[in-house]
Amino acid sequence: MLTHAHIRLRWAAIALLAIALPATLGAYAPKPIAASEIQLDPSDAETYLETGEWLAASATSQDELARAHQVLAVGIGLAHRHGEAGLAASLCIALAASEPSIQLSESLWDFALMLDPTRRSAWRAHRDARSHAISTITNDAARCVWAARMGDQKAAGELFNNSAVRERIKDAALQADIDPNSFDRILSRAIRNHDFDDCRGRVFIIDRSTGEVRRVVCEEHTHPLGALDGGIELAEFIRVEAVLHELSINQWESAVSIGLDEPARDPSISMLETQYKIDLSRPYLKANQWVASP
Amino acid sequence: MSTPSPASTSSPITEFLGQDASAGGPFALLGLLHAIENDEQIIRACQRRLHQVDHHRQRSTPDADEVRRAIHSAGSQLLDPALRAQLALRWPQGVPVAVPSAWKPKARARRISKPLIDRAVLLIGASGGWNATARTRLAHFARVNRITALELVSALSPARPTEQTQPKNSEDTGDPRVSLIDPPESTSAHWLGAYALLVLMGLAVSGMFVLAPPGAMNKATDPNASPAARAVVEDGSDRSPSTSNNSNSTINGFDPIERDTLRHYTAIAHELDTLARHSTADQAPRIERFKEVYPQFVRSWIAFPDPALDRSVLNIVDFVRQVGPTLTTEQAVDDLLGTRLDTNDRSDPAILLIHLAMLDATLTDRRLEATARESIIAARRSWSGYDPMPGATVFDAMTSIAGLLAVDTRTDDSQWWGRWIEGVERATADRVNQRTKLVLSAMNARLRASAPADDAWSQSSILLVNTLTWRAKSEEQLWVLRQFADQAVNTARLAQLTNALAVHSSAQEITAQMVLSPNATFRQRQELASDYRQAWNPAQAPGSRQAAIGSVNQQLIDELRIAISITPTKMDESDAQNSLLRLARLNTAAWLYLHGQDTRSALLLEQAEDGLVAPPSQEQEDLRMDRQDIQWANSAMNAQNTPELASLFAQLVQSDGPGINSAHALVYLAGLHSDNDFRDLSLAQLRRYKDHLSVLLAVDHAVQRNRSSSRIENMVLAVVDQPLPSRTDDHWPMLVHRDLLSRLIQSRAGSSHPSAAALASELGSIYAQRVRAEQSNSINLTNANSAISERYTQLLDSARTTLGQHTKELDQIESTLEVRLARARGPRARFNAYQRSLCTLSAMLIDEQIAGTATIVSDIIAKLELLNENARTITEQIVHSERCLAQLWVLWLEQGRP
Repeated sequence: MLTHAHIRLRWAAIALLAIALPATLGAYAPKPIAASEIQLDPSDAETYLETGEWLAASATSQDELARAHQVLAVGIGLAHRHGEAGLAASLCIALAASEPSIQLSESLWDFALMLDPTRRSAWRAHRDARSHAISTITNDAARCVWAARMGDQKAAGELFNNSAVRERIKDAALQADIDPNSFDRILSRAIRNHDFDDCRGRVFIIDRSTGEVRRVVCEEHTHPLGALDGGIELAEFIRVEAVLHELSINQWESAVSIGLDEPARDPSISMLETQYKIDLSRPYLKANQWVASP
Repeated sequence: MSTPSPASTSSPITEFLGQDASAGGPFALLGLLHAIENDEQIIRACQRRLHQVDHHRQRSTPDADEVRRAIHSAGSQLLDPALRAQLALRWPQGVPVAVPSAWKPKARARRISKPLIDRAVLLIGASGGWNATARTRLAHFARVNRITALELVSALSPARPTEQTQPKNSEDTGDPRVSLIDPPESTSAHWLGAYALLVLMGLAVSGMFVLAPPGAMNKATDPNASPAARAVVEDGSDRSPSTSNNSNSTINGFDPIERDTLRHYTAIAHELDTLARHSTADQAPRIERFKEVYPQFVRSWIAFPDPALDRSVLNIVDFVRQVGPTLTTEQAVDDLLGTRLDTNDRSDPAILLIHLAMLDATLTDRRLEATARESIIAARRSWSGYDPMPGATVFDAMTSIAGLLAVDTRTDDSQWWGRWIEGVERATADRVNQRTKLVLSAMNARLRASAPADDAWSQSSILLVNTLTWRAKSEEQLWVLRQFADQAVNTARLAQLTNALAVHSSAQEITAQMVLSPNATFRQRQELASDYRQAWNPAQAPGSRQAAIGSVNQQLIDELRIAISITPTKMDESDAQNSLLRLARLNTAAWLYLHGQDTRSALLLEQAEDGLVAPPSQEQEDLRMDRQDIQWANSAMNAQNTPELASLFAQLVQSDGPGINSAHALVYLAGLHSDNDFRDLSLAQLRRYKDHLSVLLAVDHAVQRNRSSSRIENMVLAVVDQPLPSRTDDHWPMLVHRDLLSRLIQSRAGSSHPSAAALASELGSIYAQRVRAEQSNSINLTNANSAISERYTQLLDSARTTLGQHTKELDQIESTLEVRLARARGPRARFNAYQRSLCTLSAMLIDEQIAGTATIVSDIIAKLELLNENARTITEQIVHSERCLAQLWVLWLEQGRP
């Protein structure tokens, strides 16, 4: 039998835990780092790794995260310049870990492997995990475009509202050499317009009274659904779908026809300089500004 | 001997060789007096000391090794008479160790009494004076009285009292041990004369001690102070402005500056050794001393043998690391290492080599303070525009720096090149191949310079040419042949080089007539090149089979050179395709030729300029939707029987094919109609029109709109020609849609872009010929991507065998390829990924196997990277890569067939 004393004791313990646990967890959580505490040593790129990781972990705003990314990116450049390929690769991976852009994150992983071949197994593991994650979004994006073309407004609309899906579609459009924003508008319009589609996707219906079959494509659509206008718009839809399905596997002509003609670009230090707006001749961070000397 | 003091007990020299040996300096260490008659005496002294160490109970310890090294070092120093004289001014003389025991002073000499001396004097008198009889009798007399003969003779000398046999200070020239080295042998006059001379010397040195600055003397004679400390203190006092430097130097009789100049490498090595050992204490004077020694080291490093150079480099690295905390400014390292180097030093390539390599070696030390590291990097940049190369050995670093200096310099000054050659010869030592590569790279760069071919280049070319061996079939011979054929080479400068070769070198078979005219045309250059080829390789004389083969070789080179030069950097699709095919055919012809397949090579060479054969592209098919289309669709949908339907199909065949409405009707009839006959008839028509966009779109529509069924499946199978996924799969519609989309794209691309398909096919067949059939994995090599993948695999295998030591670089090539393949958008990007790996692999192989090509190869690869960066399409990148491969094939072909 539990006495009142026992019950009180139990409640007291629970209350204590309720107070102590957040406090304990708080103690272990990364604390924001003061600007004056940042000690970067360009001769030792490892300081950029430590500081950058810490800044990224404790970042509470986009600006702080961007600063952390800059620290790591400068570290990559310095380590590369010092011939410390292993450290540069570690910095790339650290930067990729907190980089929200999937594409950029992938490029950073790729750069890590190009710098340091010993990262191959880690790179493969990451690639497999990432491609699994990406494949779901890519499949949804492909379904969205197909459904939109076929006038399935409901299915297409649901998928289109997912920002990741929408971004993936834009990315595919870019790969297919199509203006991504323009295609986004076309897709959006295609999904909206089907609200007023009288034919509901049908081409023929049977008149039950006469048994005669007749074409029912509505005035809104000069062509049956799925064929769109039969011209440029249809070609763009097909190219985007092809990219999303990764169809141009072996045929050079197929690649040409869907517009896969962009030159290959390796990840590089200059890519980092552009993406993160860094200047390796200013490796010191003073008062939140990058400067040339300590 | 007296009991060693605690401080001296800790010294390994004291432990192994005794207290006298640790008095400081090489004389004490070897037990030699300042007056050394010949080198043999030094060598014997060294051997004696080594013998002592070898018989010590701790002879196998590191301390013993340290002492052995010190003995060797001291011996080397003393073997140089000039240095010996200098050291004699600085260090005390030692106590001989090998005199007969009878001549050694003993404690019991104190027992020599006045009566004993009187009896000895009488003995001399009875013998008729100082003669052989007297000496024999004295020796006997001494033995009888249990004293040594020398002690007795010393006691008889009126110049010094016997009490001085154990002086406190070895630098006291009243030391009687001085007389022990040469016991009197001949006449009494010589004996007495020697004594008189010694007494005079003693007085002179005593005078020096009396007149020398007291501080310096006290410190220099401190038995606990290390030799280096003494040296530093001496030097510091000499240089100190507070001391009367001039008066001291006048009094002491030698110039302090002269004394500070270490002329022999062993002295410099010794100083660096000492500085590194004691750099943690009392740093200021040592840093000052280091600033003086370092310039002397970089000016004379060429004279250092390998072990001494290695040790000195380590000492300098240690010293810089240990004084690291004091190097707090960006200028600090330059102040420490470079402040005493003058303008001449800074322009001396031999000094630049060692100085930059030293900075790199210092950066390699991971224990270096961060600020010091930064300072070193700053110093490195202030001395050269090249990035530091930490991690390399000092010799490797020097080799790399020498290569960069040679390529970057704009001077033809023979003095500069003379020093560069000295540095390179020392840095490469017995690595002749490395040296050859460097010299060829240097000449390569200078031959392409725009500077006038003046006397300076004439002199320098003679120096450079004479650095090489010019043996038959050597790298340098092949290199010269390449220069004749390369239009980038300045004819006037090449003329000077041929003059150096013909007149001033040891090159065989090259006569004085084989000098190129400075105004020669390119054809004349080729004619002279032919003379050189015949001179160096008679087998290629005209008419011989080798000559015929040689001409194919030359034809390939010429064709490749032309193709390389006419390939534009920016091109449209058509130009790109033609350039690509031409380059690819020539590259394959080169491969076939070098692998002995002359017939196939010649065939490809003939076809090199053939354009791409492709069917004309068809206009993009629009979706037809006219009245006729709608009418036919309605008729077909309402057909009552199969003959009526067959009749409608006949109409369709006669028309332009199905429009979009007709296609929908056809699909309905083939897949959804309830009558089997209707379906079968319609399916047959569907197969007929399976490449039609309208039909494929209609099938796709049907798949998306209807539940999966066997009828739908049959309908899809009629157009896709490939197995479909199981209908039980939840994603069946999506998977089928994917197949239909693929079919749709293929059908459209085949007609709209036939040239792309033809190019892929042609490239596949060209690349397949570069694949060794016996090693092939029997894949479909007519596919361009499969063929190039196989080619890459075979070359990589070959490189792994040939370049076994470059595992890291090969791994990097593989990783980079893997990344590029993963990033590739489409088959052409994947093809280019393989091409670029082939370029890198080939470049590595050429660099390794053909001397003097390092610069050319790196230039070719750098140019490729630049072109790729600026390319607008993947097709341009493919052409650039093939062009790069062509440039590399030229280098192989210039070697001739193996």
